[in-house]
Amino acid sequence: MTFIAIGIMFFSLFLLGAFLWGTFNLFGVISLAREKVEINAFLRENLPQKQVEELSEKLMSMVGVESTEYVSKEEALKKFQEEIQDAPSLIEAVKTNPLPASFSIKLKDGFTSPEKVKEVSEKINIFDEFTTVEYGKSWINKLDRVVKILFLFDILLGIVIGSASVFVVSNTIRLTVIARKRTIEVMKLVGATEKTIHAPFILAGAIEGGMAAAMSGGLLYLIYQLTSKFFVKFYFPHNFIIIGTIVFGIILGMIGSKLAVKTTSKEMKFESPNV
Amino acid sequence: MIEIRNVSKRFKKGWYALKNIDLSIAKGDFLFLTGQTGSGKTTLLRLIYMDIFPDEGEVAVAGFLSSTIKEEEIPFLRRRIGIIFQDFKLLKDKTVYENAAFALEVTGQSGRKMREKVMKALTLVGLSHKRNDFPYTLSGGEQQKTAIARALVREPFILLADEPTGNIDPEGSEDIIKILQEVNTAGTAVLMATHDIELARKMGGRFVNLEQGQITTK
Repeated sequence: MTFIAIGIMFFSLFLLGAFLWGTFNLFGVISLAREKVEINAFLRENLPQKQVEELSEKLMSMVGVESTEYVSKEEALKKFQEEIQDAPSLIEAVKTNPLPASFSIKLKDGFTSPEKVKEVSEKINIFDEFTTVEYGKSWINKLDRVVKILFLFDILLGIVIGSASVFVVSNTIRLTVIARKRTIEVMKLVGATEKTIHAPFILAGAIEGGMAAAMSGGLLYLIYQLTSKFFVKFYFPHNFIIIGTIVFGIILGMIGSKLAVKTTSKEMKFESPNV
Repeated sequence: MIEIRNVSKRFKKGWYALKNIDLSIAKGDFLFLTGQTGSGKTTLLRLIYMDIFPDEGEVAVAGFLSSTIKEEEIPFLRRRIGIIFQDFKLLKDKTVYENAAFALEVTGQSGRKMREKVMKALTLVGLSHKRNDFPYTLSGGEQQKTAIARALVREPFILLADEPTGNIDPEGSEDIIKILQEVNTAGTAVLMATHDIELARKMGGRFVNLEQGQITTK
């Protein structure tokens, strides 16, 4: 019975751990995508260097701005030429430099939603030095929708996996407790306190939960190593996933046991063949 | 030591398992509680060891009152009384000695004093030579003796016996009652519930008869 309980806890904790790991990677990808959110503010022609520097300082002092990068006319042209190097005729056609200098403005976390980006770019647009302020409006809107859907899906999945594992684990532990119902009954009969009755079950729950979690953490690590070697290197926060799973397993085992023994003990009326 | 004052217990609406029960048991009493199956004997015993509580009236046991006792105090009441059942309630994976010692171990006792108490109880019930045997190797009578030893190691003031001879042949039954009488002679009160009125009469002593939850003879 103990082995079955450990096995079921192992499976539940493995699923939970895998879900957490997946969530970490999902948010990793989302934050990478969000880092790409930037505002491009194009400057008027022939602004003095001093004015550009002052403008950079003003931008940096704005709420939500993480960093600014000045792109001169020359740099913009160079970048453009690199981008169209497959079309040499087009490069030759560009005799003068039509590209304006600009600022690439990166935003802080929490300022990358469509509303915030719009708000910040409208504030930047107030400066007379800029002719146009742009951000990838449709791209940001799409990213935001995808993030919201993924986030919702992830929360739902988390709730389903989390509650299923708590349910399965507590019921499995309940079976192991019921298997020792006679012991609980006799303990109550001879005057053992609730603490004395609960303690061995809680201790066993902690050990079983810890063992199951260590095994599932180990398996997740093994999968991480194998996928890194043969497939793709995922992000794997060792401490959080392995130690977190073990701590969660111990707590799950203890709470599951405590609830199971408490319920069994409460339900128990000294069964006798007659009334 | 035990006072049952005007106690009624209902299990279903309108159906009384016990009605207006008055009973007192003093130190050193030996009392048979007789009655047919379903007459309320077990309910009365459960009220005494406070597994259930009266709907009306009050039960007082060794200074604990059913109306005021807290849940965490119940174990301490149980330590003052010994209880045995028809189905013995022994732990199959423990020997005779370990079963008896269990009652002391779970309340934190150990060592030489505990061993002495266990051996004294096993000697009283005549099972000291079978102390290392497991329950499944014993007869029904011997299993009940083990249960009696477990109930006695705490030196309770009363031993509650719920149909202790229900699963035992007639010869073994008399043996068990003799042991209960010896326990009583040594100073422990005994309250024995049995549906076997003839057995109670034969063994002599005070008896109270229950019929449909009411006392008919004191």
